[in-house]
Amino acid sequence: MASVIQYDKVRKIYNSGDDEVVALQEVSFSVGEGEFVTVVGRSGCGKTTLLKLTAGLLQPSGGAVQVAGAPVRGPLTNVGIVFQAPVLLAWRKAIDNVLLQVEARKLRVENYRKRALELLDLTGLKGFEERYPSELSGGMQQRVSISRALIHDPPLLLMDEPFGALDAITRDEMNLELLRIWHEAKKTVLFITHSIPEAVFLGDRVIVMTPRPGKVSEIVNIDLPRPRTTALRDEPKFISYVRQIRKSLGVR
Amino acid sequence: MNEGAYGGTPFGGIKWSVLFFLCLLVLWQLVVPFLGLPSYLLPTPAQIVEEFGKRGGLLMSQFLPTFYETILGFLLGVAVGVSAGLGIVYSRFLWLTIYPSLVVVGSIPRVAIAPLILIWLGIDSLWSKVTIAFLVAFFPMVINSIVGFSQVETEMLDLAKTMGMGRWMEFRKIRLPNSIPYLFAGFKASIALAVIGAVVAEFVAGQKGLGYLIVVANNDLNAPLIFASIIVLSAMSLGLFGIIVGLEKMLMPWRRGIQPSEL
Ligand SMILES: Nc1ncnc2c1ncn2[C@@H]1O[C@H](COP(=O)(O)OP(=O)(O)O)[C@@H](O)[C@H]1O
Ligand SMILES: [Mg+2]
Repeated sequence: MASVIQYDKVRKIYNSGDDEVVALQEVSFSVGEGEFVTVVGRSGCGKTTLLKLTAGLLQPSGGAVQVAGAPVRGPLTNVGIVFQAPVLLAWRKAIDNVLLQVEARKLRVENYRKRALELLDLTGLKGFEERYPSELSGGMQQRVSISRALIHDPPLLLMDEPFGALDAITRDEMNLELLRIWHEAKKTVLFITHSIPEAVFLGDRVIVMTPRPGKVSEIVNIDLPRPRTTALRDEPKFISYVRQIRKSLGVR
Repeated sequence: MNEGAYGGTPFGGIKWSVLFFLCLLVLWQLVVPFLGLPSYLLPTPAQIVEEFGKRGGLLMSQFLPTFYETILGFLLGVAVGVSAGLGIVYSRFLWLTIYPSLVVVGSIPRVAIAPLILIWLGIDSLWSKVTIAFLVAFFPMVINSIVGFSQVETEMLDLAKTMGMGRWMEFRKIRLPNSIPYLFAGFKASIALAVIGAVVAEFVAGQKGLGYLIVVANNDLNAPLIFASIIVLSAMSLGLFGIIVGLEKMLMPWRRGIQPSEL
């Protein structure tokens, strides 16, 4: 399996005033093609930093990040990104927020309108295409954001706690939808979360991170059958993975 | 619905408001002769209306210069304010040098410079008064355009980079539309200030305009004419403000207006 992302002894130090914050120290692992890798850890352990390094929005202080075999030097354009906040443009309707991705790439909007509508349908927003973000719930806004990250059909999806702001029920639903989309489109996904059950439910592998300085404390292979269903959450095996990671994170 | 403590929606009650002010006018009309106040102290509404009839032409001819000064001062304020805002947002040098000192500039009482400007640019020139209106009007435009062009979520700008957007497209598709509510807040503050600037300039310059008319009427102890001038000024302010609010509603179906930032 070819690796799409490779982290090699990645370090990231922030200078804020006189203080130095070691956000990441000696982070090494790789993500294979088509793999769904989740990263879990407390807030402040460098998860967002890792994602921004991957997307080329930050440069490492040491070590190297490679995507598709090449070192990341500037912002990657062949990715889809979803942040914790939906980050939509208030003056654009749902569909036009999705199509921003197309306009930005100077592609013909007309060729992508149908696909945008399909994605909004797939993410459960049929009938809401012409609504402004202020007229949508938080969960619906995040679905727009996911559609926007998918419309240019990127091989790599980077997601930073995308469901962190949602209620537990909507979150579980979104997990299932995301797995369905991933299964259909066969993309490589790097998914960041602070929820252990979510990391286990979604991932082929879970990267467990600990803070101060941010580093990988354990990598857990999740040997659970796919497609994953809600019932899986009650399986002893699922529960034992959750327990293992909780222990690794030092949760009492 | 929005209901006050005593029920009723704020705009459903507009007829009550009108009725209330009509009663006040009637009261005013009755109380002035009752107290025996001379008209140079407080004219009655009827005397003011009469003044409009007598000197409608004069009011109109003095209204036009004030109107031009206000509009030109405002437009100049918008043009310079928005350009300065763009410069400060896009130039690191200006951001570091000028932006922090703007607060100081903002706290100078700019009408106090009016006499100087009149000396420099000439008392009888239209442009000296336009300049004063401009100086007063431009400040909220700078502040609001800086905020509008720069207050964009970092994550949105990060996304734009991964979408391959260049600077120009980022401006057109993100920063410019983002600034529109702020620009309108600036327009609203600036137009009101431009009226003040124009009138103050006319107070000092004493050549023409409603400000000048007020000074003349004051010297003649003609209070009805002062009141009539103030009413014309207020109507002008209100009309210009209304045009801006109308444009705002038309251009921004996604949100209601925000309040002007004051400094
Ligand atoms: N721009 C920055 N400047 C200074 N310190 C930062 C910056 N961004 C993040 N940090 C620090 O780096 C550490 C990791 O942050 P982050 O990657 O956001 O963690 P997470 O996403 O896991 O919560 C934190 O201690 C945070 O305070
Ligand atoms: Mg984070």
